[in-house]
Amino acid sequence: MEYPLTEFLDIDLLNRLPTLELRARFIVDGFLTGLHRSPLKGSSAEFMGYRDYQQQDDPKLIDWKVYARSDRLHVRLREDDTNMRVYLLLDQSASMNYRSGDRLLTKWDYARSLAAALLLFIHRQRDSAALGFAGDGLTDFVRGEGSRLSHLQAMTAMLYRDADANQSRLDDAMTELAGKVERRSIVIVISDFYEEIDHLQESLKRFSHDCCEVILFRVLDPRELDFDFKRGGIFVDRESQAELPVNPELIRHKYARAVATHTEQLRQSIGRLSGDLLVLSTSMPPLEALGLYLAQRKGF
Amino acid sequence: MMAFTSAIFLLGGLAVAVPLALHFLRRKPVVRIPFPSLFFLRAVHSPSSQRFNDLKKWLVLLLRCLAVLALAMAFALPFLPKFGHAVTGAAVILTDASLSMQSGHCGDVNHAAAELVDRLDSGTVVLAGAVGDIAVWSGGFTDQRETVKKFLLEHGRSDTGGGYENPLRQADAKLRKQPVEHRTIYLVTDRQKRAWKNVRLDTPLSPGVELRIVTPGIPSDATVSNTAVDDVRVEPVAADRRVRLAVTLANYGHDPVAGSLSVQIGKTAKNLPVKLASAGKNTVAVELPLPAAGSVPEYGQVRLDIDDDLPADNQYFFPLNVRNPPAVFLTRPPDREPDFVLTALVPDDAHACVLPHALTAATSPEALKRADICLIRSGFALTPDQVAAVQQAVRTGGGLILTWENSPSTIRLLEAFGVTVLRTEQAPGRTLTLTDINFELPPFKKFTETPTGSLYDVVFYRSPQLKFPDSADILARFAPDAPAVGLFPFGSGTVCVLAFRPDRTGTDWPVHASFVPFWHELLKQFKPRAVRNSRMTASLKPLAGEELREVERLDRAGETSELLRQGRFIPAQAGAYRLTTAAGQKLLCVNHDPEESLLAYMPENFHPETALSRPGVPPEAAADAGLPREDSDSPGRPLFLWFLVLALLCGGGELWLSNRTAL
Repeated sequence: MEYPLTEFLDIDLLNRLPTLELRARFIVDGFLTGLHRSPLKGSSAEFMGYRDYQQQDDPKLIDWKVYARSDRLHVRLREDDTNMRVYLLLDQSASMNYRSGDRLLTKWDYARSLAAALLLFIHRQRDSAALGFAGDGLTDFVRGEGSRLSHLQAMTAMLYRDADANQSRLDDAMTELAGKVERRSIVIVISDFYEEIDHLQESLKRFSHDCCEVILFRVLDPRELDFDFKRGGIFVDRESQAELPVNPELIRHKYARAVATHTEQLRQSIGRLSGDLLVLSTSMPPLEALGLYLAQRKGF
Repeated sequence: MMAFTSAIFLLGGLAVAVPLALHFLRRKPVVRIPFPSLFFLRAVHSPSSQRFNDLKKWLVLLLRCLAVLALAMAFALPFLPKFGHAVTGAAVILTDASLSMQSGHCGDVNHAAAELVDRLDSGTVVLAGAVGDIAVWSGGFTDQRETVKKFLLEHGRSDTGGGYENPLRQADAKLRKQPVEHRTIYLVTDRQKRAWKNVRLDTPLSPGVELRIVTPGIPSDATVSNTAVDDVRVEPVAADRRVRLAVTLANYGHDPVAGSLSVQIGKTAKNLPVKLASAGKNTVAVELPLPAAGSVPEYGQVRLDIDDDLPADNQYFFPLNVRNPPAVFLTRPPDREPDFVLTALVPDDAHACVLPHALTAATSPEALKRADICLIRSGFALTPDQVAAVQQAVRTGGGLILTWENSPSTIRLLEAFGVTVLRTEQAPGRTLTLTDINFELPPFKKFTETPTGSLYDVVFYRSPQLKFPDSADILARFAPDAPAVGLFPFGSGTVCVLAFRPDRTGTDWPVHASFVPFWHELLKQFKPRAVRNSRMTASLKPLAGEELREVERLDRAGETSELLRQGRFIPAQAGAYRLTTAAGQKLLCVNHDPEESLLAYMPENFHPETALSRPGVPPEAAADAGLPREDSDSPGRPLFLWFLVLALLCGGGELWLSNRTAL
């Protein structure tokens, strides 16, 4: 059974974004040749610099010409390229399975499109990716080895699923993922982040110890942003099925302020980790939103 | 207790159903709206604010309803009644203070009006007005009846005729302001009722305003019907010898009435029931056979029998078979007087009872000698040659009718025919009535055959005390020693002396009911000198001798509005006219009944506006007399502005609150 990427991606739009790359803002600590520089000194022909010789250093690295000139032992450092690992975490809670109009994507479809595009970009730049889902904790986590096409296809196939009807535990999933993430990776979380900010902050702190860059894609429906409901009624939580009688006119402004405050708190939290928070409305095509973000993002 | 001037606008309050209906129609069933998460909704949702919003919604609805109701009440012109008790009716009592209401009769009218005040319901406020050339009001509507009665009893007559159109319109306007169920105008007047009755047809009154005409001395006079035989037209008798009449019956009253109409020609009579709608005229066609040749009377009679109406106004004599009309040389009445006598002698062009000739200073004595009848009145001064010619005419078989005028020329003429004037006014300040009518002799014999208006109720003013020759037949008396009508031979002719002025300044004799038959019968006493078949026509309203140059109609604002005909003028509408003659300008006040119209020389300071709408009692004088002020027509303290402000406040509050409420 084939799981084509075209299910999620607008190929025409994708073709117009051929030069986009997901670059890390740190020095990638990998083994494969790729876009990202490694902090390890290897056999590359690129000269990086000298340092004093230390006992544990390989004597082969001593530059004898320098010794002859300066009468001191120096080690010649060489620059070596390596690849990057990107961890994608998708929130597949029931709240993601929502759209306010027929012309809009559900948030889940939107998140899947983003993930598919990112997987494709990662594959193109010969980096490796890992994919997991936030359900009842971290589920279906799979780590791609290298940039082989088979890995891309395998992870694309994992996107063919529906959003769960249950409530997700995003903070648990993020905590669990933090234990699996290797040093100096990029962690991308795609969710609506309906979590208490304290829990999210606790989860995010775990990534700071591993020198990771965390990027949060907050996907929201336009109605979730402006709460532009014309009439009131009993609002039903898609996850918990809880009910609440609400008059939209009464709380519209308060709601917008609450969303903005929560987003700002999340932005401040992620800002302390030098990460990014991108709020995406499903009214904007996912590839276009992703393109705009990647175009302005600066990395190494 | 608040009342409303235009309570009909309260129906506008039904518009409150609109916001109520919208409120309840816009309520939609509760729907379940799926939403991704209640994470933020729970954070911002407050049950107390929801309840507060529900309260505000009801408050908005209340303000909307209040705004509509306040607006409706504002346009209903609410006010706080100034009277302490419940007012259910308002009445305007208009008394006739016109020239015809001479002193004694005026007192009767005033007393009748005062009694009428006592008979009004206790919940009725009253306003009195005396109508002469203008209306003088007692002030405003009041429940102080003694002050109104005092005004009615003390108000005298006017020196001019009555113009009732404007006073009635004013009364109607004053009544409209009164927020009561019953609005009535009472006209208290004398026997010249026809003019007043026309008011009902010619002066439109507001819906709900009832006009009642009260005549003093008539039992249950406050509620007499207002009907009249208005006109009778006789078609030429055809070969089938059937008489066809077009009888116009008028009902000037507020209510429809039913009665019977009888037409009598000699011994032939016909009765038929009639129903008269309110405030309208009906023309009834009546056909009956002509009596046998030789017995056709000279006039017939139409009588409308309505239970409680005045008989005098419901009878009409029409000329039918006037034979050998005599040539009458008659003097012109004074310019200020309508010619009732000519009305009696020449009812219409086709049925002239006489062949009238003007007797003026230029009439030749030779013509007078051939006169069948000379009618000398109004103090006309004959030249000595004319006096001699008249005496010769009477001696040779002619007739003379001499009417009283307190003038030397009349007194000399009376003495020339043997009548002595004992006193020029036998009862100063009082009115007279006939007490001793000789029904055995013509011309009153006819009155025993047909039920006409009571001759005993006819009022005379300023009549003299005369002494007739012994040969005279006294046909009627004011008192045992004061003959009213005397008939005596003079040579081979006959002289008839009327000790009164046969016009509206001398009597209130109902014209069509008994005045016309009296003159018809009186003329029979004078044989024409020769049979003449020729017929003459005469204008019912002879013009004054002065040539008219210009006639202008003055509207209420006193502005020239219309140029009528030049040279000859017959007013077609009631109103005030300025007549320009070679001698100067005159003001002509034309009432609906032309007989009430008067010509008066315009005073130098005349101003039409003040003349037509002069206010009544000046405020200062009213205060001195203890009468309400003129401006007290308002039924109380108006609340229009209060309710308008309330409506605006409610509307503004509704806008303010609805913008802060989730509806």
